[in-house]
Amino acid sequence: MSKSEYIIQVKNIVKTYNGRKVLNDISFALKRGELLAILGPPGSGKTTLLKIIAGLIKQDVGDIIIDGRIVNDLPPYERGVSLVFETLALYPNMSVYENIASPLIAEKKDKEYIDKRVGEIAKLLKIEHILDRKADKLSGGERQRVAIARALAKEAEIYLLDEPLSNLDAKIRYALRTEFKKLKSILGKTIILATSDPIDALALGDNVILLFNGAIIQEGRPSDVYYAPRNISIARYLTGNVLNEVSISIDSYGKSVSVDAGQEFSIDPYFLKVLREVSETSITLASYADACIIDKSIESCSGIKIAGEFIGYEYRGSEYLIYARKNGRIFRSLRTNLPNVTFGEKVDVCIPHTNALLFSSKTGDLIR
Amino acid sequence: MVSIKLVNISKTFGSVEALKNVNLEIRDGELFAILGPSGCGKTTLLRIIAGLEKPTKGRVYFDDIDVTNIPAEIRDVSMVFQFYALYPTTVFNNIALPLKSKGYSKADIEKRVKEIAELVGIDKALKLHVDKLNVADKQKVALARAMAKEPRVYLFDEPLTILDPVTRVIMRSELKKLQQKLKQTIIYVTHDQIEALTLADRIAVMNFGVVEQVGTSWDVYNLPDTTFVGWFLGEPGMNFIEVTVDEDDLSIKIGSKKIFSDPSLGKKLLDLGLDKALLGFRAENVALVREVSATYNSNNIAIDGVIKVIEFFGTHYVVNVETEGSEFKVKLSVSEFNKLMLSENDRVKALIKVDKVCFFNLNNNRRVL
Amino acid sequence: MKRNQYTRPLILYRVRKLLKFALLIAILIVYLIPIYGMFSLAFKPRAEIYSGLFELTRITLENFEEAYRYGAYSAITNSIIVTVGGVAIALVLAILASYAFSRFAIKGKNILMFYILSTRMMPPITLIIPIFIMFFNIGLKGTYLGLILVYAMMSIPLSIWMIKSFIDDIPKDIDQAALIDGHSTMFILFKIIIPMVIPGIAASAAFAAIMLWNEFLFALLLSGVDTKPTSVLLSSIRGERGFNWGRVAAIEVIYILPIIVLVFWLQKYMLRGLTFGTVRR
Repeated sequence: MSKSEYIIQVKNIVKTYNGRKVLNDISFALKRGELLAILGPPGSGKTTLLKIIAGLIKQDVGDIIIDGRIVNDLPPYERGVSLVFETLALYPNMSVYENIASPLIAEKKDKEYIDKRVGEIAKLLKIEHILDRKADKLSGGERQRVAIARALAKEAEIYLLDEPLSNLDAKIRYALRTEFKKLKSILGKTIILATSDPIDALALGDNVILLFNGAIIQEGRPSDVYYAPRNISIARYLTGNVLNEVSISIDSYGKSVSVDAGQEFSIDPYFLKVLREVSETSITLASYADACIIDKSIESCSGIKIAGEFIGYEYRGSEYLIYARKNGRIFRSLRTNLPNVTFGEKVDVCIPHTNALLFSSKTGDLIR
Repeated sequence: MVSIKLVNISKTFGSVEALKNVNLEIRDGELFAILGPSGCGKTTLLRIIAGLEKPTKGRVYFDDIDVTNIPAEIRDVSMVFQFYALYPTTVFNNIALPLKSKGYSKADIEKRVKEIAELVGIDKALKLHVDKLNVADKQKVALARAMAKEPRVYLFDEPLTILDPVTRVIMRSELKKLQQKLKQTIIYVTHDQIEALTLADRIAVMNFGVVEQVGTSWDVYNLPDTTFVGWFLGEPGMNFIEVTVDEDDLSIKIGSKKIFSDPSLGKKLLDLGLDKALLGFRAENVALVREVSATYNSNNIAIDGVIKVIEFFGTHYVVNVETEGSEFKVKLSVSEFNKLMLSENDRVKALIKVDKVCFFNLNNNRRVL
Repeated sequence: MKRNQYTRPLILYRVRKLLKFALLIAILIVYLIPIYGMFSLAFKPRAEIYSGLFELTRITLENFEEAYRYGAYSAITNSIIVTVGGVAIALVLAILASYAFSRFAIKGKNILMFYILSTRMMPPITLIIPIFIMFFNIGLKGTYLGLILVYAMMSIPLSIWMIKSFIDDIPKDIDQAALIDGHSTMFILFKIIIPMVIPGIAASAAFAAIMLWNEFLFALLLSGVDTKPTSVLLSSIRGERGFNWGRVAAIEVIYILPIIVLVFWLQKYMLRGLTFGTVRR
């Protein structure tokens, strides 16, 4: 049997629960050795999709093809996939060793082989020192590693990881993320990773699929998705709902441009041009925190300038994230130092048009 | 308002040593953060200050009075927890309860509850049942209830982690404003280093029951006392590479590769009795260039390496560089990264300004330079 | 000790604590008095039984010897046999049933479960006649097996409900992870699920044991001369000239001892069983 170009193909998967379409016509394909990140809010269908690929849930319509074979009717064990659950699902009364050895015991491998393999994997994941400990006596980071070790112990074509980093301290999450990526290169495995954290998806994925409400709304490389989000809801999701946004609309005279229908002031003619080009009467301008400037007063701003109030900041050691508010909208700016302002004082917010994203206010789709 | 002193506090649970010889001094009116990873003992420490736990060894002093054996109800502290723990009744009743048990008159209670509610920003919601509030407001009610008691000190156990980022930032500012106005002593426990850096006047960084360093945000970030503090603060944490001092020309080397030829650093290390040390530097203080062969001026430590992992974070990139068996991370802005057009397995040279590095003793992980 | 702002509140606190403690001691005494009385009677010599319930000047074992002659020790042995037998069979069946109810989609599951529970809602006395006739005809009257079977039947419903709720608490992900690993359902049940619900099993065993140990009605009607448990023995203890208090007390002491030991040993599990795992993460 010839090896197909794609290690896994998912074709037109549909799954309905209680009349609600949890997955709507999902299709994608992965090449060997790639890491695909499926990004979406909780409840968008990621876990269902992974379980369908694994064979724990049966799809209503559609095919799963792994290495050229249609596996729709095969039980999980025979599909050549390994799954790490969001809840990790470790066997609490067994030791770490027994947990990792579990798939090998099921395959009836002999003790020598099991010892060797468990040792190898434990070394890779740096958990040799806890092999004897009971699985319910581990820290969060240790449990995560054991769950991954158990998945690796089983020889599989594809590894499915469901929110592998969700319950961890920020520090451990950071370290594990990098380790994942290294592991992937070393082992050459194909991985599908489901997460609701955009940072995980952007940092880890070779490719990213955005799954919202059971439908794929965008796919591509992380930087492509980030810099050209098809819809403003994607940009909002990627920033955890703290996207810098401003609405611009032309008034009835077709001339001056007002912002948020509340304040009117002159805007860079560049935006007027864009508005006319796409024959829209209102667009939303958005930018990420590193493209927005907040300061006590900004003299020249080649973009939109707004007067807001300073509501707080985050000090990250190497930089500051400044927050300002105007009419209920929140703006953030990444800076290397703190401006000399007190809480509640007036500040200027500038969104330059060079790095800004323009979306239609009606549909939310990207214009430029 | 009170100043708190912890002297030689140790706490053992069965065979586990949760706290080992902790000594802390918290000044009157300051916002003091206790920062550390899960399981480091920070919550246990807070509970000992509150009086909910008795230390196995050591004493607790409030304003120089030994309160170690005085139970929590008498110590007059207020705690705000991660999951608000509100009573299932109206907002008003929640705030009024501590006053009722203190025996205030009905009129006094009304006045005081209104005052506090206004201060915290929930005066409009007084008649509502707490179930009807959103998470941020619920946490505000918890705060108001803590304030009603007029305690000597406020103890916060990760109260903002359940809030969304924007509400968190706003609440932090409110808390800071409140603290400055009322001049209350606040002890704030968290595992979020950004929260500690942003809020605290001073931070105690803990690990495995030991206080590794106490200092201001600037101190713990830029001059960490131990490698743990350097690693724990910052995203990503500090990089550490083992280096040696060449005995002939006093240059600094990684393995056999020279990374700094000026003998000034080497001399300082040898004066301290070290011919080996851990070089510590932060990912954002590293510049990358592709011309590996060129040499650079003596202000910089230059390390040659190969790019192993590239991670995209939206507003920046973090690149893992491998060299001579060690690896370190470099933080690059998007424009820097795009200019260099880096990909996996590229060879690069990392430049680090000499005044931005620290050295740590290999044996005890303490900073020496 | 220095007088400071904490002295007064501290004294009030300590006084309140002392009062609460005193109250608890008082309640405890009220509960323990009858039990002490029973123990004292059991160890008192015959002559002193009416002289004062709580004084214990001389300790003797003569009442226990009398109890032995009366047949108390074989009665206790019978109690142990039927209780342990009933609980053991009940647990085996209940564990299998609980797992099935918890994990498999069975048509009419809820109705089935309710039916099982409903068998315990009928007063046992309504079942006595049919069961007696049935068992008599099969030849089980007067045997250990007969009573054990009835006892198992009585214990199964509550055990299923208790053990099932413990199994429900185990996330299905664990079963699924084992399936992906390639394990069989039996392996999952015996090597993974059961070790995780030992507290639930222990609690069921304890509650069932207490119920069966004290059971009287079926024991009376289904046991024979050699197989009668202690509950039946005690019912026949009234003599022509009244009660032999010393002997009665001695039998009672031996009767309650095993149960006290059991509950002491398993109290942690019983408490968890009672709350039925209602509060979770």
